[in-house]
Amino acid sequence: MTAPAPRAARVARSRVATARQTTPARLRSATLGLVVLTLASGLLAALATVERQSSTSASWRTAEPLMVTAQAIDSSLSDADTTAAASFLEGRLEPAGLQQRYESDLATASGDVAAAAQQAGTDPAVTEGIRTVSTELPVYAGIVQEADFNERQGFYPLAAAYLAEANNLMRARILPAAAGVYRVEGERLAQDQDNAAGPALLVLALVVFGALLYALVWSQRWLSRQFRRTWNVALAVATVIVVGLGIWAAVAFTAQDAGVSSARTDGSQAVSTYTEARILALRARGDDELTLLTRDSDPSYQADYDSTAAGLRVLLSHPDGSLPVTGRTEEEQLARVQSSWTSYQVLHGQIRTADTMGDLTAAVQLASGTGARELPAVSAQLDGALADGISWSQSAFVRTSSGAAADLDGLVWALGLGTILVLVLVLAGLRPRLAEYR
Amino acid sequence: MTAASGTMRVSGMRTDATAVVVRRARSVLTALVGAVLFAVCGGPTPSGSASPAPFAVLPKGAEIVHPAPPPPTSASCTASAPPPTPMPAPGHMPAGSYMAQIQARGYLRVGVDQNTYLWGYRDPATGQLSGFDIDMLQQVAQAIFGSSDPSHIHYVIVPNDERMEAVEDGEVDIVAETMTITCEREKSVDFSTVYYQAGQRILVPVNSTIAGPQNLGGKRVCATKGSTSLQNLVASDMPRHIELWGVNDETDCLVMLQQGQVDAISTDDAILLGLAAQDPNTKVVGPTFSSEPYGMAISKAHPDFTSFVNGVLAAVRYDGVWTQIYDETLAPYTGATPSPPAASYR
Repeated sequence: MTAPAPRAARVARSRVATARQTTPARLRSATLGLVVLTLASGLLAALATVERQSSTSASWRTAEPLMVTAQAIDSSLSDADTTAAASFLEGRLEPAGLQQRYESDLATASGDVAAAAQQAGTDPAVTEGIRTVSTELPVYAGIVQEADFNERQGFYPLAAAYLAEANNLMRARILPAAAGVYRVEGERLAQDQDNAAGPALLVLALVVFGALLYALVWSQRWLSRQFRRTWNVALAVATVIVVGLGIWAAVAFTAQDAGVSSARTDGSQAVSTYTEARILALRARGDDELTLLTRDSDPSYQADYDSTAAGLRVLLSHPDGSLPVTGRTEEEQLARVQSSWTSYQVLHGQIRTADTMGDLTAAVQLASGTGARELPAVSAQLDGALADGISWSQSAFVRTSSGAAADLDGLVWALGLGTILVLVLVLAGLRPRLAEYR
Repeated sequence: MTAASGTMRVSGMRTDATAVVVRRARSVLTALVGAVLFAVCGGPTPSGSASPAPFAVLPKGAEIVHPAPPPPTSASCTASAPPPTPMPAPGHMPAGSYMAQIQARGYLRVGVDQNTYLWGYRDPATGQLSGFDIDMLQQVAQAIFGSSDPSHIHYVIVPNDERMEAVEDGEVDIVAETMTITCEREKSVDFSTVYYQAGQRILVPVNSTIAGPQNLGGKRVCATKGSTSLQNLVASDMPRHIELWGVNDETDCLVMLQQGQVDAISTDDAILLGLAAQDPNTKVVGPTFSSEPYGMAISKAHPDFTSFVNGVLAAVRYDGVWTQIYDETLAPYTGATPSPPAASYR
């Protein structure tokens, strides 16, 4: 009773083995194998493409706008602070233009904080920063209001003291919190960009794709030996299609890769650098204004100017800075910023000279006059050049990123269509052979 | 949010009608910003409903300090060089004198403050420096050049703690910056005769119960860092346990007083006068408890110039110009005009 069972099993197993060795069985497994490999490689390639495409899109649809929002908060706040100081320095009862600019800066900043709070989700690093900005900004506005109130009363020193306190609150607490938010958003963007260029699924797709190609070639060689036909036209066409798709994918992925990396250097990094430079330039101007406003009590503003200017010099230097000089437009952009910054430094020197030589009136005139070679105009020119740099780099980012995502557009459709076509061809190539055994 | 705005008590208690209008107009923006932000941070997340931890906004550099007691008072050092005889006529400085050098240069370099209200500050209406110290210096310039042309005077803003160096290094010809003549300072620079007699007093909100130094025990009191005012507050005859706050600039004390962060400010009455003038809801109280004779500081290298300045001061004391300057700058806040301090010569 014990013997037949193993024998039966052995017989059954050998029958299966024999069945596998028969030509129709081999044909059937080849068909199955090719179909599975085709579906798998089509699916994986499509998934890899979609993943990269969505990461690329996420970088310019979500992460980058968030970072830009966070940076915009920082710029608006810096601009508000500098504008407040400028309006006091001009000594007239708050020039209307400056008043409007200060108010619109604060309104923009609080609107952006609202937007960032909604987009940021629950990331504690971001929400903490947003909370600090949103709770302390009204306090800041209140102190500036107090300064304004005292200036209107003619209590100039008290106004300057309040303004210095507001500036200290802005610099010591609000701006660092805003900078923290944009640092986190910047890291998130870099993460998306890494994913958009990352190999993850692509490697798997490549392996399966290689297996499919090998299986196709192997099947054709086997068929030509088995059935004495040199060509199986359907399978040959399928092979050509697979190779063609492979080349297409390689080209598209390379283009997308290049797109993402140029979006990073010409786009998001340039946006960051220009934004940082803009914030530093505003801070430098604030230092010059506050030096004149409160110098008696605080010579530290000039020390701050020196370190701010040094930072700005590094950012704007070439090739050490991270600003793109890949094309004519980028070069012109950078040259414009650099020359405005040079003019600013020259003017800064003139203001300092006038001040230390005892000609306070001339220093204040240089720092608050309406002439083309006086601080408001020179600083506006620098700020404008930097703002143009930001918007130009940002559109370069969106253009190259969306272009990089679009590089993969056709590929997804081609992969889907190609997979169906290869499936049809595999079946068309193998079924007639199988039919010969029926 | 409530905790934050709680620190903004400030000067809501002011009664000035225009002030109220201004404040109301401006507070629309603050309210708007606050409302938007509150909607954001207080709204969506459950944790947002917890009010943020309160924080105090202080003037930059404000901190609690522990000064050393003042050195034992020594003899007065206010005696200065007598005026030259005869006093040179304006515009005709004697050859070889330091005044002749200044005249040849075309302008007098003066060290001043632009942040001490009523003494040396920038008038927002004119954009020009004005105040008692500035007016006195203009008298000196006028005596040298024989004209009141503003181009004959160059102002250098000198921080309080750099006044001595500015004079010693020759960065300026003369400093007039609510500067007390002390024997210690007299070792490094020369002083003119006394042009204003000040003394330390106390500034408090009008509704304060503090009436003099005897009430300062357990209170928070503000003065400029490194000043003799702080030292005088820990003198042996002062109450114990005064919480002393040091700031970079005396006006920061007024900011702290308005923000409810200190109970009183104590420094020279001359400076308190300028602070009180900027906040009608404060008053100067108690007796004067130190002597602060103000003099102009001049380099020891130019004794002829010190002597000349004393001549100018002697003239303004007797021809009514001192009184006229006092009437224009300080009298609106003190009510009465005292007679000028007497000069004492070596």
